[in-house]
Amino acid sequence: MSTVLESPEKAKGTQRARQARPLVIAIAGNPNAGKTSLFNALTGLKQKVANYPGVTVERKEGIWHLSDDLPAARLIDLPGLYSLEASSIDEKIARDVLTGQVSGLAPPDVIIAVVDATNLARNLYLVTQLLEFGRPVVIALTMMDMAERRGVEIDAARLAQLLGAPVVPVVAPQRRGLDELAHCVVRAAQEFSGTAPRWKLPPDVERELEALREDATPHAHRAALEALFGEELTHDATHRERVEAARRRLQERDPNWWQAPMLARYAFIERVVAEVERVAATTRDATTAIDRIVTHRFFGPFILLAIMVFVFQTIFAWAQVPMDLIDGAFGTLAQKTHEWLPPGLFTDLLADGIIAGVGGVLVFLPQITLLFLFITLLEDSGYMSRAAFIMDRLMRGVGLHGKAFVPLLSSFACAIPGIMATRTIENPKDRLTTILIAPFMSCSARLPVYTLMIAAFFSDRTVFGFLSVGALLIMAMYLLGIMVAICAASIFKRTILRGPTPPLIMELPPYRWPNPLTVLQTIWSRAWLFIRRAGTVILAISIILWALANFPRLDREGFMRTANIASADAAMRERMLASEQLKQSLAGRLGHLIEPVIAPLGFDWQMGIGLISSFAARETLVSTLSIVYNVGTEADASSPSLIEAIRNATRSDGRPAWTPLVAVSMMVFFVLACQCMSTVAIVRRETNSWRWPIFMVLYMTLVAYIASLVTYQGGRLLGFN
Amino acid sequence: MLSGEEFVCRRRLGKERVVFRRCAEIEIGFQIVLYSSCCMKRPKTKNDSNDSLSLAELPIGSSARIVAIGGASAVPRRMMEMGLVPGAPVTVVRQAPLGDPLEIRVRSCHLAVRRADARVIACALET
Repeated sequence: MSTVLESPEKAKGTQRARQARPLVIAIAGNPNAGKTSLFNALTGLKQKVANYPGVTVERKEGIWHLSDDLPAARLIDLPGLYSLEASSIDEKIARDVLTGQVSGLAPPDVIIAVVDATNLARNLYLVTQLLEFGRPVVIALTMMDMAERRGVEIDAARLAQLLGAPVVPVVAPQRRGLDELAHCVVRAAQEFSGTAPRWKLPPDVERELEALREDATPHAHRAALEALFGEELTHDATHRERVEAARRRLQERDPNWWQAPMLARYAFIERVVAEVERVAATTRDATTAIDRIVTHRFFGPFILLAIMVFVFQTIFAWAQVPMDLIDGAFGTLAQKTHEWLPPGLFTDLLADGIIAGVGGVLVFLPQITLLFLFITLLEDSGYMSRAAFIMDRLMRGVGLHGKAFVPLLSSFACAIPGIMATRTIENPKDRLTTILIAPFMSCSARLPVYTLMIAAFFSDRTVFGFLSVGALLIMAMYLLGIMVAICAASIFKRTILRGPTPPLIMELPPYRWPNPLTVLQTIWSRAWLFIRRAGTVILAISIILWALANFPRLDREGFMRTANIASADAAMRERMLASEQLKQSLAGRLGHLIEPVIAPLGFDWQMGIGLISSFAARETLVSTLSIVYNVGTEADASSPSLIEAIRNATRSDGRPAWTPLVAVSMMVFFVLACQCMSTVAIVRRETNSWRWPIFMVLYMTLVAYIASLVTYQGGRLLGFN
Repeated sequence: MLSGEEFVCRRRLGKERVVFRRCAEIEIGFQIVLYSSCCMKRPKTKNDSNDSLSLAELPIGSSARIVAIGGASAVPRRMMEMGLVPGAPVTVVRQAPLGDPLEIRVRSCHLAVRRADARVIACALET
């Protein structure tokens, strides 16, 4: 703690405070307590999102201007917590932050505890733990308006008195109470003199704690409490022995000794709540009414399915307009580049490699944005946990947690955030199973592939006059991914990741209107993540592919002399030259190399080039195909669109390269194969070894190959072509 | 709230029963009675007169008071942290469309809990 801040001389203190290091303030609270909207309101857009070293818990930090005469404070957003005792990664990280064990981060000068007024008792449990850290705690009381509507009145002044910490009611979206919060935080940092826990443990437990702790400071007391009741044992052998001996003694006296701190805390909380909370006659509650329908025996699953169908249908209908705009803009840009710059290798690279590559990626931004809009709305409104509630029985059937539903659903947008979201699953085996099957969820990067295949072969076809074949096919692809994921999960849970089904204790928060600012920020960060990936990985791959398709350079004169093409017209000659260039290029050779392996799936060597390149990221297939097929028409200013090129592509024997059956086989392959470098990287980081990502790539590719083989060969047997 | 030195919580399907014995009292503003639990094979011919129900056995829509929590794994610990402590009133709001998990209300907080996990919580029906 800064000594400067404790100076009683205000004027001088202010002068020196400017030079003092900025205050570090941690913000902690239960999930759904309004922590994120408070954090956003305090920091605005000045946020930094990174990861804690070694783990993938998101580390959110922002700058908070407390007052004019103090340097801006560093505000650390801790993960949502119910407790600090259990062994989940989130809780361990939060403990490390609060005790100053995270490198580059001083222990917080002040802890802001976000407390949901509608759920006072449960939220105060975390507060009782935060108070034990021996650091000033300021309580931000959120959801007061909602509590009032429910007929709950809370005496904030009395609450502050009983807890020994200032209490500030805040309404973050309307920025009410934020100045007072800042004022309280500054005062708490300056005047803090220590808190003493106001609850007592049973005497025998207190005796053991006294023997274990090194001195009488709150920090030592908390450390002893954590050692005795925590799930992890210390590595120090002598200390460990003492802890184990203490546990044995307590166990002999009372087998339920481990409940003592929780009982003592809740007993204290009951007393506090009884004094500060006045509940008037219970009023009508919207959440109860909504839940009666949304989790209804028959309507519940039906509503869940309807929401999913609506989301998919919307992505394809509404996203089309901005997609066409972006597509057109980049097409014009590439064309103009050809006109403005002198013809040559560099112009080709710029127009056909870079601009086309970037455009081919950005065009899918509208879909990603819309999908994240839905996921964020579902999550922030509280519906997502109802979905998990409905789905839990099914998920448990494959040995998974209802909570796995959320990461898996997020994986429909992108497996990266989905896999990162698996950290809410406490059981490591369950977490690993969820990670391994998450990439089967049909992510947004596959949408370009589906869209292209459908646009080329199934556009404008309908069933029953109104359902488009395209929408049905996409639905089928999503279902295929889900079904294979279920099979894979149940196999894993019965073999390599066998273990008992872990518990489900999940809060069903009241329904809330999502905060528009939070929703926009989430969408923005996801979209930005995609653009960054697009701008780096995809662009790099586009350029590499352009080079692969153009080097080594073809000896044009030699080819013209040896081949008998004098009779062909100029355009025809250009096309044949370009085709020859591709055949002789590195990409062509690689494609030819794997052709025997992929021929049973209905793919030719040109698609082979696409498969190889899309191991970097699935959406690369589109830009690869456009380069591969545009090569023949690059001299032509009005080159036909990619769709036309695909329809017109032929094999060496003159048969069309693509048929509807090949397109379906390709889609099946893309649903199931692990063609995403970023997924591999994130799994490597989450599991901390190369074993699982390599295993994942191998098994998914094998499954994809078999499924594609069955599709193509089965389809041919049934008479499709 | 409680009377008796011992009460039994039956597992619905299994052959065991969990016996809770009164073992300690804590005075913190008000009284908390600690019970210890142990699993026993159910004797074949015993009619437990002072049975309390497990949370999983409560009828949908009924309210009860938690009397004890058994077992010493991560499950009961998490449940207690979420407010399912002895003395707390609890209501079984509904079951999920597929029969499991249960939605329970403890104080003003709604939780989803699986039936299997809910068995470690012994309740006394409110009358």
